Amino acid sequence: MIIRFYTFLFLLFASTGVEAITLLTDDISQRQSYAESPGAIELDPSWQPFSTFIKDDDARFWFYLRFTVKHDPGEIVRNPLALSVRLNGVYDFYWDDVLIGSNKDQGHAASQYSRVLIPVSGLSEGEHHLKIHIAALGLKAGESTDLRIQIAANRSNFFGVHSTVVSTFFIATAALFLAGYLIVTLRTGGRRKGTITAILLCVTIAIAVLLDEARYLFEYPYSLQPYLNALQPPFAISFFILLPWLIFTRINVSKRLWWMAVAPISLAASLIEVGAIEQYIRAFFISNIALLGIALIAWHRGYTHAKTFSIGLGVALFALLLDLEKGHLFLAVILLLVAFDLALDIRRQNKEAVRLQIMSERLRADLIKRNVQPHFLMNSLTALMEWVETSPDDAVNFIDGLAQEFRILADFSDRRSVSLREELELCNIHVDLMGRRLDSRITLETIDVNPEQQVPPALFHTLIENAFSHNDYRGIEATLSLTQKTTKDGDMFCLSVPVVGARESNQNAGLGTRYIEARLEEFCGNAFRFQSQMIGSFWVSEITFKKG
Amino acid sequence: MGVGNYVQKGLGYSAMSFNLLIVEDEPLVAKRLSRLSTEILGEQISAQYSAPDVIEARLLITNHTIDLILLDLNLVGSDGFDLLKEFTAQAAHTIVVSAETNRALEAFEFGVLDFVPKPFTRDRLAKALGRFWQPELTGEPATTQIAFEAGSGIDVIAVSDILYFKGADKYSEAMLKDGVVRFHTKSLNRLEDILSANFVRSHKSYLVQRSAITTLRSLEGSRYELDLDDGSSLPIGRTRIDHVRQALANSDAACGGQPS
Repeated sequence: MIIRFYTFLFLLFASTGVEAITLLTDDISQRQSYAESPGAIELDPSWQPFSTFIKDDDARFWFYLRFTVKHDPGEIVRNPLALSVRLNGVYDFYWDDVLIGSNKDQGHAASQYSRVLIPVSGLSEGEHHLKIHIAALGLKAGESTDLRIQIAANRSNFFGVHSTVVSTFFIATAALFLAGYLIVTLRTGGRRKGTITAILLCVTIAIAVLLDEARYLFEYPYSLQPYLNALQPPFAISFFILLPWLIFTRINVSKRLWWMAVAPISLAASLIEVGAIEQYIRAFFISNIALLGIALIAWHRGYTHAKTFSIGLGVALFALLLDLEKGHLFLAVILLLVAFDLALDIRRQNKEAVRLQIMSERLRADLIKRNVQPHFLMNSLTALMEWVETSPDDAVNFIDGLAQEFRILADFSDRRSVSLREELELCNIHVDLMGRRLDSRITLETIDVNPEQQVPPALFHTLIENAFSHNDYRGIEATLSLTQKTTKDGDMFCLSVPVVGARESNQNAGLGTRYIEARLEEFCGNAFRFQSQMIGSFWVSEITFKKG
Repeated sequence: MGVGNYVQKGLGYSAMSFNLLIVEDEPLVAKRLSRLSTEILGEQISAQYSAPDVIEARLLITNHTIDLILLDLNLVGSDGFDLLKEFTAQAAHTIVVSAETNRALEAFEFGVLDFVPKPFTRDRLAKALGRFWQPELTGEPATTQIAFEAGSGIDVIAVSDILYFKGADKYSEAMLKDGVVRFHTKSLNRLEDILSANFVRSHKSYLVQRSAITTLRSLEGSRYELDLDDGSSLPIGRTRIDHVRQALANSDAACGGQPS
């Protein structure tokens, strides 16, 4: 089946099959055919007009055509093997006395087209007869049946091409291009919510319209037609599932599965016949109405993207009312809606990228500023002055440590991540310097840490700075503890510092915390969790890098 | 340049000793302040106290007469602005010693004697300490607001809203333009130190807002009075009449007007 499908796709675009059927026009017809009036169709010699006037409401007519099928032995018979029919009335087509098509419904407009497939089994080489039985049901005396038939692919009413061909190609091409572009954005710009659904929807739309129209557009082995017919329902159903799922995902409604009931309800409701409107058009209509209602409610409640989808679905509904025959205009609007939503998203992403770039630059500036952070630097220099005057050896050691810390911070300033080993080296130097300044014995112990783990620069250094800012560690012995754990959520780091003489319940206050959050966001987007709290006599900060 | 230069120019400094409080949470910085202050002021310091935090500082201020506070604005667990308000509302003069130089203007607006940026040399500290006796040498931005102790908190009042201060023993009373009288723990002398840019000492008991003066009137018996724009009058001390005239003349030059 899959091989057949790919064969179809190949043939769809690359087929060069022979025209193996010739419609003979010059004899056999029971009545003389004639062009009823001048016009595009009438001037097209491929159309065979057979017309008669109705004498009474119960009139019945028979037309006959003779075909010659000719092809070389072993040559594959290809399309066009369908006949396009335009008719006021009810018809039955017989190929070699076998019924091959019937509309069982009177045409409601002069431009109505039907299609009749000639069974492949009946396409043996040689002569064949087509009998056309027409019942003038509903027609009044004096009206014309206006029967015209042609080989399907020859129909033309739009610059030499039938309008359905144009719209089919437009929809299919646009859908496939949009799907391709979405795939590119998925690979290059990161995953946005609903992208995969949007890709599937675009592909589904492309395939569905091609399946519907392929027999009139492309040459392919006639025996594939039943399979192509069988493919149509799954793709149609996919459309009615994917469209609401995409909209619910983009709008971010809760209980999406519950709302998905709109799909089966729309399909079920479309079984109710309304005039001559096709079932799938009715399904489009019902589904669109329901989705528009949901989008409007979401818009009213302030959901993101709901405004875009409300307006888009409103336009789609209008487009559907304009094109009740094929629904191509509706599908075009749906594709435009997906593209417009994508464009808005890309604009948002660009803005976000600019924001992140600015944030990144600011973070670099912040890190550089740390080198000259007034409280740390000026107090250190004051302490240094005192040592220079009273204890030069201590001054030398302190200058050495200070230089190391500045050197590392300068090295960090251009980086978005550093190894934990480098980070801990910076932290230990800082702890040592602060211990000297405060005349205390402060140590940093590490438990189960992976020194090769990448972390944002100066992450734990900032937390340790916070600890010194918020606690009174003068003249005491204390241990700061950093532990790494692997949890089901990801890698978790836990920095625990003793609370001494602090008079602030929240040690998170200040620029340090904002720096940490900004750094984490730059490092891993939203895939982190940062929380701090007092546990016993310790202030515990937990940073989790979420998996994936 | 040591404090000696200021001592010699000072107004009776050599006969005056005082109590110093250092409020600093960095041990080495506190040690440096203490050592240098002792070196600079020598025996002029009758007592020196050190507090690493606000609570201990409050306790020391309550239990001792403090004349000068060397204050760090970045104490563990404290807000620099609150510290500034609280300590400038005290009777003692305040010198801020801080790394946060961006707060210097704010500090001067609250009436601190000086702002010593960290790190500081012996000379810079000596210069700041010298202002305890010669505050007019500051040349820094004028004080624009005064912090008053009020119940359990601190009220900050714009200097421009005060008509005059009246001496009340070691303390002062501020007469506001809206008629409200506020009590301040600083003596009139110390208020004069920090408000001399906008106020004139017209009497041993009065420190008057220059811009509020409408008339300088001479009375019988070589007495003088100042009429203020709220309709009140204040006496001028006999020995201060020239000083007042000079101050008002300076104001006129600055403002282009003249009290009649």
